[in-house]
Parts: sequence; structure tokens; C-alpha cells
Amino acid sequence: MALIQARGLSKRFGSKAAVQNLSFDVVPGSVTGFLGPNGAGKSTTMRLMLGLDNGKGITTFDGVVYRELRQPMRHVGTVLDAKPFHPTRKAVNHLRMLAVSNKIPDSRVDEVISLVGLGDVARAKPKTFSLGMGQRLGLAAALLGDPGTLILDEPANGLDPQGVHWLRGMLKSLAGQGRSVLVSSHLLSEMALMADSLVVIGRGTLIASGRTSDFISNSRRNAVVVRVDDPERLARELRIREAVVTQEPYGRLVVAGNGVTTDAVGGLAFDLGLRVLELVNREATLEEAFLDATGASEEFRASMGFGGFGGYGGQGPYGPAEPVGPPTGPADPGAPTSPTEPTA
Amino acid sequence: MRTAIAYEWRRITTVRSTYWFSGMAVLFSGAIAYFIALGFGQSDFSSDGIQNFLQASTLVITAGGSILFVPVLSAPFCGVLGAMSFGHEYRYGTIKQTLTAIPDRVVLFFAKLLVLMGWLLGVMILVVLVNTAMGALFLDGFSLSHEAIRPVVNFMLYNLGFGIAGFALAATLRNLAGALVAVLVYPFVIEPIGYNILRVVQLGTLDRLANLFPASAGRRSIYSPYQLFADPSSGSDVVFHVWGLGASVVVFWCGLLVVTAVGFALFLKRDA
Repeated sequence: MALIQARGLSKRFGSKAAVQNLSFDVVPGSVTGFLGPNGAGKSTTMRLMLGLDNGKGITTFDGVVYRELRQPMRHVGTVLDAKPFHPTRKAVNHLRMLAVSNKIPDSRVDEVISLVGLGDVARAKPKTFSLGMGQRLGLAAALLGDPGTLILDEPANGLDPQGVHWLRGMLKSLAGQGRSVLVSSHLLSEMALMADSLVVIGRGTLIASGRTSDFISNSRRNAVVVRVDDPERLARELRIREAVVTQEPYGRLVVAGNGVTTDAVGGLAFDLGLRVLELVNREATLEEAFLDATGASEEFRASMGFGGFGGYGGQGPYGPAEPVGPPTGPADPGAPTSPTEPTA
Repeated sequence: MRTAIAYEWRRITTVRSTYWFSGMAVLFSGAIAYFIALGFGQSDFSSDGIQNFLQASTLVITAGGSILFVPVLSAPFCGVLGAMSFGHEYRYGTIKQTLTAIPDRVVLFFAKLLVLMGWLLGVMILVVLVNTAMGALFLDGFSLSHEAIRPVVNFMLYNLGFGIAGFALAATLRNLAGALVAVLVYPFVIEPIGYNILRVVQLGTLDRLANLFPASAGRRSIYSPYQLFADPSSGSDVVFHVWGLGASVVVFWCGLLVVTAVGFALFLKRDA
């Protein structure tokens, strides 16, 4: 049950910096999602952590670097490629081959191959496997040594919905046993269900690390949806209070900004003597929060709040770094509102 | 190291291509030995003296390798086996998984090399046994003498060297197809072209550079008797001054050492 500590990971490909001074922790007993756009450096980071790529920085597993682990598969299980096997070597032989390298008994091969649901095709050649079956075989290899740590690069790729559901349950179960699980994925909805914590990177640098719930709740896309009998008046008053107001069909107002809560919006409506017909908090999805965090190059800075390394929710998320609310001048009460763009 | 060797042994013994190419090395070599034995089967060695000059028994055991004109057909298959040893790791993207199982690259490299050499040694013993059986069955007057030991041993080492070359080239190029092309084209195309250029042009003492061609040097080490085919003073048409047997053996193994050292250094240095 290893604590993973990555410190100062850096890697250049020629003049291009793939990973820059990246540091983060993965704590035991949690599934940590590793997120970033394509080309952000996720796979490179994982390879650096395992000593597969040459670069700067150090990653320790309970204080020991990977190359110095005795029988490393008993400590760290990895899935780095979708189909890392010879197409004509039988699945069971593939696993036995890996097992013998770390003195893992062959009986364990039978266990993991059943665990991942490949028992019926154990003696089949992987060239007949689908991508999802290949992923399962990769997971079986990762689990061979019953490791305390798992590092998985896009393990859900190619899995069908049942497979994704199974994977989620398995990883959460393994984390529940006290293991450290670091998993990268582009399936953000799945990650929202699976990951207890997140490490978000962009262009090789850390954007955020911390609890998933903090990451989402700190998104500037969190908003309050309100419907009143005089939406124009409420919108005007909200803009005066520096809220960002977007009008949606049926008179709905979507209100965002610092300090915008259902209590505050409801209270304002009450003070104005308006009849509240609907008042609900709309929380950003992980995808929205992720897009906020990684969508623009100028946001690729760990100093954007949301913790950065070593802190959860320090100065608040992305809000303080971005101006919100209306222009400096008084709002035009008669200005048209757009259903898709903030009116401010 | 022991677990790394066990890993590599399971790796090469659980793919069918290992057996195919090993079998083809035995089959083709045995076929050549059969035809040579059959061809010389009715010869009267005592009267025409062929035993003194061609050493027919040695010729059969080395599948023609002990004279100038016959290619050693088992060598390309050994080269392919060597190239597959590292090349499959890159061809099928398993090198990262291998290195997570055995992170010590020095141990992994030498475990692979040792297992390959052990396997090829077994294949060559089988080749020699089959070839010997061909001689015993189809060559009248077939005999084993101590004079056959040197060319037969060098025949085995020459094949082993091809395997090592394929291995080192795959580690260097990280590409199975590239390693296969290199291990087949260089000794059978590039060196002969260079040899013939030096031979035809006759650039003074520069023609002695042909002595530095490692594959040719290894090939010469099988000749029996060595002087008959390699030394111009013996009356053959080889025009350049050919180094002696010992020097040819050294050149062959030095060439292998260089390509292996390059592969080793790059394997340590580069990303997986």
C-alpha cells in the first residue's frame, strides 16, 4: 500500500518540453485520476515514474524508486499500452512469462485471468482478442503480483459499458483495500464516478491536484438557476452585484460568480418582492471543470488556485484569476440577453 | 539474473516462430548436407584424393561451409532468431512491459543474450548432429577426424555470431524489419560488393582492407583446409593478402563485439 511521490518530473523531446517540473502525490486508499488533454504529457509522466524514460525528477513508491524495487510487479502493477503482447503467444503463457520474472507462482496466473473475465479464452491467442479483451489481459498482468499500487494508462479504452462498469468497481474495490491507484482516462464522466482525487496537467505542467469534488465545485461553470415572475429586474439587480447572468428559455436565469449561492439569489428575489418559481444549484460536470482548466493556454498554470501541489482549495479555484461580472459601466436594463453567452 | 533468464526462456519458447526458424535452420542445413553426401556418395576418395583436399566429411558436417562456394544456409535463420529476440519486443510493443517486470536493463540485456546463445547453441548442435547423420547414411567412407573439429566449431560459432548480430542490430535499430534486412543484406550483399570492388580495382595495399570485413572473416574461419581457400599462395584466385585463421576469427568476433556494444549502449541510454 504505497504512497507515490512524484517530484520534479521533467522530460524534453528536443526543444519541446513534454513534462516540466511536475510534482504530485497519490495516496493509498484512493483512485487518483490523471487528466490532461491529448499531448499533455500523461503517458510520458507515467513512463518517467517507472524509469522507462530518461528525464529529470524522481518518483518513489513508499520511498523506493521503481528500478530499485525487488520483484517490482509485487509492488506496482502497470498498464501502459492497449495491447502489449505477442499476438500468437497464448494469454496464459503471456502471464506465466511475466509471473516467472518476479517469482510469482503460476497458480496466481489462473486467479487473475479469471478475475478479469478471460478464463474462457486463457489458451487463446491474443490476436483474436478485441481491444477490450486486450485491456483485460493488460489488467491481469498488472494484478499478477497483487501489488499495492496500480498505474494504469487509459485502461478503459475499448471496454464496453459492462467492462467500464466492471473496471470502475474493481478499481474502487482495490482502492478500498488501501491500494494506491493512479489512472489516466479520457472518459471524464467515468472518471467523475471513479476518481476520489485528480491530478490535472496541461502542456506538461501541473494545473491542479486535489479531491475531485473540490475540482468540480471550484469550476466557474457552477451556477444557480432561478426563475422568477420578473426575470429582467432580477437580472439587472444581479449584474449590479457583479454576477454573471445568462438568460435561458422560459425566463430562466443562470447566475454565476463569486458568492453566488441559492441562498443569496433567493434572498435577493425576496428582497425585491419577486415570486420565485424555480431555484436550483447547477453544479459543473467534471468535463466542464476539466475544459475550464485546460481549455486555454494561459490557464496552464499551477498557480491558478485549486491547490496546485500540496494544497486543496487554497485560494479558491479559477474565479479570482478571471474577471467576472458585468462591465464597469452600469448595466443596460434593456440590453438583450443571449441564451448562450453571458450578458456581462 | 536467474529470473530474467527464466523470463526470457519462457518468452522465446512460447512463440511458434522460434521453433519454425530453428527448424528451418536444421532442415535447410540438413538438406544441403544430404545433397553433398549424395553427390560424393559414389566417389572413390582414395584414388582421386578428394579426401585430402575437400575433406568431404567435414564438408557434409558443415553443410558446405568448409569450402568457398556454398553459402551457410543455417546462418540467416540464426540471424532471424537473434533479431526476433529483441525485435519482437519493439514490433509488438512489449518492451515497456518487459522493463516494468525487469527494470534492470543490464540484467535484461545479458539475460536475453545468454538465452539466445544457449538456444542457438542447441540448434547448432542439432544441425551438426543431423548433418553428421546425413554423412553417415549417404557418404561412403564418411569419417570423423580431429581435423574436422576446428571447421565444425567455427561453423557453429559463425551461426551463433549471426544470431548475436541480429540481436544487436534489433537492439540498435529497435525495429524488427530493419534488423532482419541489416543482418541479411550486410553479409550477403554489402560485404561481397566491397570485397569484389577491392578485388577488381586492386588499389595497391588497400585491398587488404577486405580482411576487416567481419562477416567474410567469420566465413573464412570455416574453410578446411584454411590455406587452400584463403591464402593466395595456395594457388586460389584470391588476390589480396589474406590474414591467417586466427586473425580472421578475431576480426569476426571484434565486429560482433562492436555491434553488440553499440546495441547495449543505446539500450541503456534510450527511452523504452
